[in-house]
Amino acid sequence: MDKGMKILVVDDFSTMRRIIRNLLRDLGFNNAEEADDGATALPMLKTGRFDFLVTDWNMPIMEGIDLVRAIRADPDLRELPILMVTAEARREQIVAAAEAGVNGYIVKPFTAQTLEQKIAKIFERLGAAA
Amino acid sequence: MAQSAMQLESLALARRLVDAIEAGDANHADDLIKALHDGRFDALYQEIGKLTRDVHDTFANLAGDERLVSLAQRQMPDARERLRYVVEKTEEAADRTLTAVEKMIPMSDNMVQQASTLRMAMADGKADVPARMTSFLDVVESDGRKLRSSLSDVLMAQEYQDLTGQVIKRTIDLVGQVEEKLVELVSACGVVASGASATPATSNATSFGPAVREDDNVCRQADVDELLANLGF
Repeated sequence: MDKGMKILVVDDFSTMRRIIRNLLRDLGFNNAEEADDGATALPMLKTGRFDFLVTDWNMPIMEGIDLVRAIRADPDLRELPILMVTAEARREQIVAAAEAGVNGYIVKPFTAQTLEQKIAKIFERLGAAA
Repeated sequence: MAQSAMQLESLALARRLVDAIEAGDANHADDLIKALHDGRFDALYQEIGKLTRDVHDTFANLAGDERLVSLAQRQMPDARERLRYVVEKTEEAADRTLTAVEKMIPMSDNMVQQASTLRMAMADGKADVPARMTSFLDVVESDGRKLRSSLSDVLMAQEYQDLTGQVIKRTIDLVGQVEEKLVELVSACGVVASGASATPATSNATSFGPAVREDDNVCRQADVDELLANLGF
């Protein structure tokens, strides 16, 4: 896993974006940018050459689940690894997220350790598949 | 199933109607059809009349209920304002805490880093150890003071809990009162109120927000991991 990879953090609450960016920095990922909902994130992803996406679910204008679907439907973005970090915790939602194509799912509130584990697992699996 | 008096009467009329038609007595049959029709509508009109009176009385009572007037005109808008205050206060507190923490993290990194280079210099028996020691102590002293002040900031930022807690408790009371009035209204309108539904109403939204109570359908991280593992993740 490349610690210099470019990460986009999408959440409508600026405090949560700050928390995630700080946790990422603690894990050695210093190259992160932010967007406040799916509609803002999608154009950034299209032009910004991001390597990893961390997104919330419940956001105004374009929800995280729709962002995931839009990414998987886009030929240029479909390979982008996605970690969903959300307070949405119903079984059917987790199944829906898996079907939409997320690579990992974290329920809020979460710990730094969970974030570290899930990111490691995603890139371990992608490495094994490559 | 027991039949109402109205149903029994309709049934008797219907039997007589069949008899009249079979007997070829058209005039009598017409009378019977009219009687059947009128009987049914009389009962219906009576029922509607009763319901209308009930609803009217209920609204009249509600309109005269000062608690309800105050709820609608003053307390609900006030509650919205207060909840907005909660959102502002909690955001402010989170911001203040994060700013303090973001200041402290590089300071503590710096202290740790300087301590380990100093330790190495000491182990190597370098000549400038006393000078390094002095500069390290300077850093510890000045950054230590800054850390102390940032920590106080984090501490003070928690005051929001007291303020927002009070506002939220009042709002919970208010919601309870509104619920009580709504239940009164619903039962007065003849709808059977079967108690609060255990599951929140579903809408077209795909998101539900944070799970505030334990429920078979709600997953914690371990459940999420298990579910995803079952799905081949």
